[in-house]
Amino acid sequence: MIICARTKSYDDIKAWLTPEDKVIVMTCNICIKGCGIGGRRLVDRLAKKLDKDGFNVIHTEVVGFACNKDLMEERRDHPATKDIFAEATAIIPIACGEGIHNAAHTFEGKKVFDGITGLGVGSVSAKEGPKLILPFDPTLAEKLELPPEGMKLKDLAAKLGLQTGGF
Amino acid sequence: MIKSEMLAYDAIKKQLDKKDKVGIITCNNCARLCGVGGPEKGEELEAKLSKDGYKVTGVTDMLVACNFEYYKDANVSPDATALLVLGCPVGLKVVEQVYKDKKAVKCAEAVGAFIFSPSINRLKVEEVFAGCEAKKGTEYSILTGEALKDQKM
Repeated sequence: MIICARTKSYDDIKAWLTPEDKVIVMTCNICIKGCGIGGRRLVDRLAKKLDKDGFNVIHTEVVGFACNKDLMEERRDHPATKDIFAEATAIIPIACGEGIHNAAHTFEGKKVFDGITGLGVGSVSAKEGPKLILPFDPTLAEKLELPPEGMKLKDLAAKLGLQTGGF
Repeated sequence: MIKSEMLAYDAIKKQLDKKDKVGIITCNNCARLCGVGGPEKGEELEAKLSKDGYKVTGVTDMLVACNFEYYKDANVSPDATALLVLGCPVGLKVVEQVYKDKKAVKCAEAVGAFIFSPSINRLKVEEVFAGCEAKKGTEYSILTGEALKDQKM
């Protein structure tokens, strides 16, 4: 799975939105959920926080795979969801870089929040959580002194000044 | 999703000893979409190896090869001495750590990350590992991994 970390904070989302925005918060349900950043529970929590802070969240959505172009386009075009997606002015995709790129492409013309980065590929276990094993950026292995069995997401995020957990 | 590519059959065989009892572990997530994993590729490799005189103990389908939890119920033969991993290099690392008494055999290289579209049977590499820069933007057929010359995504 792709190991992801947050490059932005909840305050960054607030600064990026305007009170006039009609917001959709959507999440991928695979890697980003395994990394403890996304999934239904965390997206609902983010929507509630934004709502409490006066922003207009009009919808939350779970997309099984945000890297699946068909699933993303189905949300845009399906009779059950097309009106709400057409109405939205800002979309917050909780997904890896590919998922965010897919959302930006599918919902062209809308604001799409980019606050998560995919660091590379790794494993997951109940005991240790997500671990980065193979970074996309080869210099990262040296920078992190990455052991062959990988490094825990929370440890590498701390080293890189990135954030983990839900927004 | 992670794009991986199968090593040549001879490169896989070179890592084996004729005395090895070979288990095959296939990933059914990213690797299957890339034409590396899945039951079809596992059985195809099993047939080739058996024909070449190797003792194959069985094919184990893993839902996701990079998740340690799925190995708790995995039906891997205790007799196997070598485990061929039809998954990305992370799946291989996990197999190495779970089955420390067995030789984990690399069968694929990682290329990068992709988006995909089942309706047009294509995947597109969006992000690449070092050394695979030329493959960025390339589209492939889903389940076969065949590189396509045109772009539709």
